[in-house]
This record gives sequence, C-alpha cells and structure tokens, in this order.
Amino acid sequence: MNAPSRMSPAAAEQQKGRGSVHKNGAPRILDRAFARLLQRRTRFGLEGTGAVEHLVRASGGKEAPAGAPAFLVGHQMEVAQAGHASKGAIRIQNVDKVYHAREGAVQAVLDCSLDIRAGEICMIVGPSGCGKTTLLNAIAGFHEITGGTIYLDDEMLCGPDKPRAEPGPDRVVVFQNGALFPWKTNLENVTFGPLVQGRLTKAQAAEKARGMMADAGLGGVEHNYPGEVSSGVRRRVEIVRALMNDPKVLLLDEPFRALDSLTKSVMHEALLEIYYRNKVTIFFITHDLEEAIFLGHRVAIMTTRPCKPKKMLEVDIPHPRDYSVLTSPRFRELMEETVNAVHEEAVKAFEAGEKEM
Amino acid sequence: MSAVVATSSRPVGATHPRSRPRQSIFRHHVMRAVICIVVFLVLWEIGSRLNAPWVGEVPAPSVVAEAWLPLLQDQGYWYSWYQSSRRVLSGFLVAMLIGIPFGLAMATSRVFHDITFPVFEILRPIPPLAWVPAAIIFWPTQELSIGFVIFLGAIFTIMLNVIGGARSIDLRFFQAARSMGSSNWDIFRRIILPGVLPSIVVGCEVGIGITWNVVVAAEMISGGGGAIQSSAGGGLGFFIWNSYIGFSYPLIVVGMISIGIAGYISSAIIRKLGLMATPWLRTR
Repeated sequence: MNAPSRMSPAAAEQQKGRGSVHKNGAPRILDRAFARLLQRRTRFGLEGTGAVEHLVRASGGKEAPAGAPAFLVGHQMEVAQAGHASKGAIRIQNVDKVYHAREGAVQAVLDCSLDIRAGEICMIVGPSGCGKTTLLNAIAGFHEITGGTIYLDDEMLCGPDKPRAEPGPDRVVVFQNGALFPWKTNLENVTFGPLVQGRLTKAQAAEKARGMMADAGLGGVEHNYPGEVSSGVRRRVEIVRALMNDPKVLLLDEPFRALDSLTKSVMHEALLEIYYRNKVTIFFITHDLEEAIFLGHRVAIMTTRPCKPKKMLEVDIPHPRDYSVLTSPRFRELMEETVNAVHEEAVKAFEAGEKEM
Repeated sequence: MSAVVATSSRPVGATHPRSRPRQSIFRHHVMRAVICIVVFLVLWEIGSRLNAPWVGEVPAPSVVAEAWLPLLQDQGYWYSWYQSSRRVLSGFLVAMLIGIPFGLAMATSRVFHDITFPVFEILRPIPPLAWVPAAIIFWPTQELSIGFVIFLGAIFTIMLNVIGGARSIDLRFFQAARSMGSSNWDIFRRIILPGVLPSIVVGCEVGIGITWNVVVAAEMISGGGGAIQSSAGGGLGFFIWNSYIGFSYPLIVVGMISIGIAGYISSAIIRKLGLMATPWLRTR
C-alpha cells in the first residue's frame, strides 16, 4: 500500500521536478496556474482558439464565469488588438552595425528596418548570433550603431549624429540570465528605478511596489533576497522592476531561456497577465518558436548575420490568449510557417559557421 | 495531477532559510575541532617524550603548559597581548582606510590605474621584514615604525581584492542600473560599493592574518618597549624574539601559540562582521 513506490517513473520524475519548485517558494502560483489550465482544458476541451471567445461570450462580455482568470474580465475588448497604447512605437530605419573583432570587421546588422507598433508584443526570432541582441542593445543604448536611425515615437534615440542612445527608464531591459541586484531584497530591487530617478519617495515606491508585486503573484517574497527564490520568481520580480519605471517599451532578451518548460509555460501566462494590466510595447527576443507565436502579436523572423527582417508574421489569434491556443489548427499553421523560415536561416548560419572554422 | 495541487498550499516565501535551526550543526563542528586539537597535542607529547626526530627538539606540550601557566597571572604577558593587538588593529585599520578607496579608485579610473599600478606592483613583492630598517629611518617614533610595517602587511592584499572585486561586477548590473536612470553617483553607491563588499571582506580576512604574520618582524623594532624582561610587554612578536635570545624554548612556543590564537580570533571577528555587512550571502 505504498503509493509512491507504485508511481510510474514518469510521474515520480514529474513530482520530483515540481518538488524542487516548491522548495524555492513558488507553489501557490504554480498550483493556481495548473488548476487554471486543468479547468480550462476540461471546460472547453482541446478545441483551441474558440475557448477564449466562448469564455467571453459566456460572460456576456462583462463578467468571466467562475474559475476564469481574473485578468480576462473587462480586458478582452481593449487588448483584442494591439496598437491601442499611444506611446512606445519603435521605428528602426536602415540600421547598420559593424563591430571589430579579432578576425576583422563583422557586419552584425545590415540595412535593418523594422516598425514596432505602440503597445504590441513584437517577437524577434532568428538563429543564434544573428545580431538580435545587437539590435536590442542599440535601442537600450548600451551599444553604438554605425548607420541608420532608431526612433521611439517621434524622438530620435540614435542616428547619424548620435551613434549611441542615452539609456533611460522609458526603455528598460530584462536580461537573459537576469540582472536583479543580489545585494538588494526583491522589494529594494523593484523600488530601485523610481528611487534613483527621484520620482517617488521611499514610502510611495514601496507601496507601489507591493501592489505590483501582489498583482504579479509575488506577495510574500518582498523581503527575500533574489538568491533565496526560484528562477521563475526572480524573472517575474525583474519584469515588475522594469515596469515600475512606467516604461514605454520593455526590452526582453530571452528572459525565460534558462527556465524549465513547466515554469516557462506559467511564466508566459504571467507575462501576458502583466501585459494586460500595463500595456507597454514589448520587444521580445527568443529562440523558442512556440513562445514567439503564443505571446506575440507579430513575429519578426530575422536572417542570419547580417541581421535584418526576413519575414514578418502576423499572429492572427486574438488576445487574450491562454494555453489552449497551442493546440489550435491556426497555431499549428503559423508554427509550420515559422519553422520553415527559421530553419532555412539556421542552416545558413550553420554553414557560415562551418566556413569560418 | 490533482493530488499534487492539493498537497502544496504553502504560501510563497514561507520557508525562510535564515530561520533554520543550526544549533546541532554547530555542536558537531565544535566537537570535531576539539578532537583534532586533542589528538594533535597527544601526538606532539608522545613524539617529544620519545625524542622522535624533529618533534624531539620541540618542548612537549606539558612543558609548554608549565611555562605558560605562571604567565597567565603575569600582567606583562597580557600587556604583550594588548600591545600587539593594538598595533595590529591600528595598522590594519589604516590599511583599510587607505587601501579600500585606493583600490576603488584604481578599479574605476583607467587613468589612475595606469599611473599607480606599476608603482603598486613594484612595492607589493617587497616583504615587510625588508621594510624594517627603512621604517626605522622613516618614522620618528618606534610605534609609528611598527605600525607602518604592519600596515604594509595588509594593504596590498586589501587593495588587490578590492580591484579584483570591482572588476568582476557583472556588466549587466551596470546596464540595468543605467537603463533605470541611475547617475554616476548612484552607480557608485548602489552598484559598485555593495558589489565590491564581499571582496573587501575577503581582503580584510586575509589581510588581518598577514598582519599577525608580520608582527614578529615589526616588533623586533620595539626592543621591548623599555622593559627587557621577556614578559614585560614588548608585544607578542617581541616576546618570541626575546625568548629566542634568552634560549627559553618553551616560551617561544607559548608566544607562537598566542599569536596563532590571536590571529584566529581576529579573523573570526572579521568574518562575523563581514557576514553582517553582506546579508545576501548568508543564503548560499
């Protein structure tokens, strides 16, 4: 009658994996998300995109049925289409970037033009080392560009006379491996921006931070150090830290790369939830095509080095989305389209790599 | 799957690593240390009594203890402790006060680094003992000369650690701070200082050990602080030197062990203070 010993190896593995998440203090959020997923799957079956519309219809467009995630209520109209935020459009015009490495000049970005609409989630996909991060660094103001112009709304960030943009709180970056300050508690990290900018007093910043952290399911970890919580929680703290600056644009550089797929799926929903609350433009670099299509209004598929958009994919699955769209036929179609385009570039990148060797 | 959902209702952040009871672990660790010391003393005693090669030349622990016991009631002996501690502490504090800002300046300013680094690198390998004659000539008083030699023992280690620590701060921290609108002063105060703090702690911990290493060399200068008797308070370093001159081998060992204990205590204090200053590292 020993239950654990009769568990299948796969189930045991699953439980072990989840146990490690619990240890680091994210159980409630995960459980809530699992419960939600289960509920949705069972309620609507696996019939895909219809699920959300059904949910909205069932609620008469006003109120979601019991058990539906709170963020759907009242949001579905506003967020069904992107482009409602009035600020945060990025215009990248004919941008070039040449950098000098030991083996000589490398053309990382060549004549790259990309329009990102205000308030949309624009996913940037491309082979490793193709120059996506170069583009992000140029927008953030960490690196110079060697040609072209980047605008944020009507303001020129960098251009011919000003190769390097001034870093600022209107464009905050969430880094690949995370850059929470380990010597500050999560709350101190989140209040960092408003405090150094002198926009809020300490008490005001703490109050706002608590509110935003609670909304993101981070109540209870305020006084922990980043080193004390799981990587999923850290990622969310970092996104909240960025949003505390009321940015026009959120620049995400593969923020969920290091997470296991289970945590990742929860993080996707958490990010969408946060996005529906705070509509900002999101510039999101990823290698994960499923992630790209699930989150993005549009997916920009970039060529291998030098980097420029090869294909712009409109993801015509309406927001708000949940995980049921992953199994919808439309999702599969888009996925196929993306895979083909990306694979072509990946092969090119691989061959170019071979040549360099 | 539902079973898993049901079993875990602990709120986020409920487990607090810092509140873990550590008492039992602590006891084990004291026990191990005591056993090790006892075994060492027993082996030493046996080796000394049997006149084993090498160990036979050293006075047995019982002989050392016999020489030590009367000293425990001797004010001069404790005055030596006080003198050495005072010298080590002041030399070390000055080394910190000069070494930390200097190291930070060298780490943050390329120009300053280029100007000072060669001089720093030439001075660094010179052993403190080699400074003794120069120190006597340089400084007007004996105490200043002693303090200077001790200071030299600690400063290079502290500086090197500060420079290395500041250099190894993750670039992303600077980028994140910049993109959230930090000024240069914010970056220095909120990123560089806390980022370099763990390295300062390590530098100080190693540095204070070195100050005790050089205390013998430094106190050779003192010449007994006016009192020639071995027990009359020239400092622990001088105590050893003087016992050697007076052929009292048990007292040499007493002096050596005393410095060992003093070094252990001061490193432990630095470690404790360091842990208080860097609470985020306690969780590792």
